[in-house]
Amino acid sequence: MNYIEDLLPKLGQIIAEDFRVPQTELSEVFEDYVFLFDAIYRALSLPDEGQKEVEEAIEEFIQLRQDGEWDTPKGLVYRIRDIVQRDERFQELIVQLTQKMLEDLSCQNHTYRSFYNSFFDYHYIMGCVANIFSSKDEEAISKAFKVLEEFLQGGKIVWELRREMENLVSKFNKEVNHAKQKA
Amino acid sequence: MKKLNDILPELGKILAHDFERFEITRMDFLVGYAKVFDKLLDVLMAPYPAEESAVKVIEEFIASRQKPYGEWKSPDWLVYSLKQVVEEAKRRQRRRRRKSLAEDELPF
Repeated sequence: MNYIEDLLPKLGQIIAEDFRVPQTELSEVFEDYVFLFDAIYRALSLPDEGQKEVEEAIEEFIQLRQDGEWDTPKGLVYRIRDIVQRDERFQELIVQLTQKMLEDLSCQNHTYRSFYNSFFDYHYIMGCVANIFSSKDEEAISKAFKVLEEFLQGGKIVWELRREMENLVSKFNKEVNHAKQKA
Repeated sequence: MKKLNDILPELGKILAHDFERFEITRMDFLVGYAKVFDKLLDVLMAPYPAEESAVKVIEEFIASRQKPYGEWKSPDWLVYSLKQVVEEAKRRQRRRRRKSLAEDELPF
């Protein structure tokens, strides 16, 4: 059973409440919920981690309403869209990065040493990608996107990408450790 | 005359109940009601008497929910009926315009 679907009944009750708006505000409410339903529908094809984030966003929205605080669904729509778009962009980047890796590794001019270096560069890069994107560090994720895109557009060579990704991970790990110590 | 916002809270309740009751088809309802909201936006922008007719259609949808399950109207039925309402209102508006233009062109 999908957890996002489990939240729909509560969301339905909020919609029923929102329908009590004055006639002049109706179009805004309809529009908000068309976009929200569309965003939720797209979110269902996300991997588990992404779905979990969407679930949390919906839960926060429901909680806010239950606490009597007013928030239109717009904020929630933008939040879900960001999660979906980030995932789509990530999937696209990973496909391109894998293609580039295969191209580089299958190059005819490789010596044993150059193949070995190239292979381990990509090996570390993939590890860094997994590390950064499985975190919730928005800043590190956004920087990783930028660095990867620059590389794929030919603006960097593989060891530069490896160095920058490793720097990102080490900075990110330091911050995590610092936060843990502080806690 | 009833307006859309007089009847919408009841429609909202049905939507909430549909999400509550039908676990397996929740996603179908999500898609169905998204289309309903989209059509309701068209109703708000359509000429007279779209809103009046839409209220009747929604009342029919709500009334069907008081009947046995087999006679229930679905969100898809609502989308289809609201679409007809919008198209009919637009047709009427075109007829009104043509009539008024024809009257303007009369020589007397």
